[in-house]
Amino acid sequence: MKLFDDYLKENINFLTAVLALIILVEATFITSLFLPERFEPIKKKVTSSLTKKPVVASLTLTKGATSYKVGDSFEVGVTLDTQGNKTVGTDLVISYDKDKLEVVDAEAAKEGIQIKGGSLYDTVATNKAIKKEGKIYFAAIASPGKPEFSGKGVLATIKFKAVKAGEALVQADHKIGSTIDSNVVTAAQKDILTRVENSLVSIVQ
Amino acid sequence: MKKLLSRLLILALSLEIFSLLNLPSVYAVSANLYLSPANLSVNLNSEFTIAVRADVNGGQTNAVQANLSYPTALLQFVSIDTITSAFDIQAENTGGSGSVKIARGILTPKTGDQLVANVTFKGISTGAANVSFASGSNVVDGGSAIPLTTTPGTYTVTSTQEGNWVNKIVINLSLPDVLQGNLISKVSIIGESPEYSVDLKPGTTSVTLTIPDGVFAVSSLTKKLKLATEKSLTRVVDFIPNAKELTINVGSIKLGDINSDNAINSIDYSILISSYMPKNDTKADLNLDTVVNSIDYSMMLANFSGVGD
Repeated sequence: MKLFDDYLKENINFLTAVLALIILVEATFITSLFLPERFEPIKKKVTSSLTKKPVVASLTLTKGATSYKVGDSFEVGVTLDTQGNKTVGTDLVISYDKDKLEVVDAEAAKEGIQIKGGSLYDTVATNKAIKKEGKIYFAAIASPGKPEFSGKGVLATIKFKAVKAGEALVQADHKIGSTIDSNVVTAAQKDILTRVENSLVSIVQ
Repeated sequence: MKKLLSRLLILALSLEIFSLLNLPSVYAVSANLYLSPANLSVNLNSEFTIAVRADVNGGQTNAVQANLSYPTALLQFVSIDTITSAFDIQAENTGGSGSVKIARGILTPKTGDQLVANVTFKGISTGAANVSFASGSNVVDGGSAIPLTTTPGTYTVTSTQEGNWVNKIVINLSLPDVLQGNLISKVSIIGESPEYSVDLKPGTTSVTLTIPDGVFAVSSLTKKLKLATEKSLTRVVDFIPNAKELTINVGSIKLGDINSDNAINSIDYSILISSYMPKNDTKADLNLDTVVNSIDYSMMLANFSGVGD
């Protein structure tokens, strides 16, 4: 026992360092287990990682600011990245919080509510916002004989008006394997969309 | 005198015209061209011989022209045999493509019922084959046609032997991967009565038709299988039904014919574009997932400008 006490006295600094290291490793481990769930739920909600498959094509919804006031108008851009794959068309099905947001019509001359289409493809096949459903349906295609799109660019821009305070999610509907939601489609009739980045909008009074 | 001569001339001309107009009535005799036997049941893929005969009832003949017509779908011309013909001079002797032409003569006229020639056919498909005398047939005596009647024959090609019926047809095909519902396809063999309706489920690579005896005979004749699938270009594939069980490769089913005109073109494109989500007109829903979108468009685009068989 005396020998042990002597050993402690002689190596107190070394043993303290070892103990500190053990505590640090354990703390890091515990943090890795709990922190993402506890402190980043919104991030997980907004980013739809879908599967562990490598990203083949993605749709990213981006806004200019983190929060807006009720009455403000703002734009959410929808960026398509095909990761170099040639695509003949992209379908975009957007769900938004219809109680907090309203789509501002981008083509007043046309009947109904439309969003602003990009120029990645030559033809807009559909463009319709349905207020009561809180849905936007947009599709752009390369018509027969026209160039297919590959690369990264703005597929469409949605202009919203904030109508009620709170957090409003704007998301592109997508589920791997489903063909009835958002799709990025190749000439080989494959939906290569594997990742969607949605947008959470904070609206204050 | 002149008046008498002119009256005689008019009378002579009148008699001549009368005789020409009433040529048949001049003859007391008549002739019958007929086939013997008139009815026969023959086996599929077997040859059979019929006699072409001329019967001059109470008169005589020194030349016969017998033109026969036959259905090429059921019969195949094989040969003409004149060795035992009563008429030893040959003027015409041809057969094929639905027609047989025999013209024969003799210096010494023949009386009664005489053999003109024997004609051999082969039954190539099941059914009743009518062989008849076509226009141009004549029985002649000294340069004048004898009033003629003709009697055709009916030859029934059957396949009654065990094993001579096609009982199973396996159709190999491929469907687009993105198909999510069943496509209805009408399968028929052109020229045969039955039409089969089959469901092409996603992932289907072949369909099997089970056919009872007595419907579709084994034969060496080329047939055409027609596969008419909804929203798709029609496929027609040649095959020879030479066995009880057949396998026919149809290939890929080409979807995109929305208006069912057997072509995929700008009309289908315009229908599809006007049907896009959220409208979802099911006519343009090519992959049968209830939504019309770019997946359907890509399916149509893959076959754009295509035309069916």
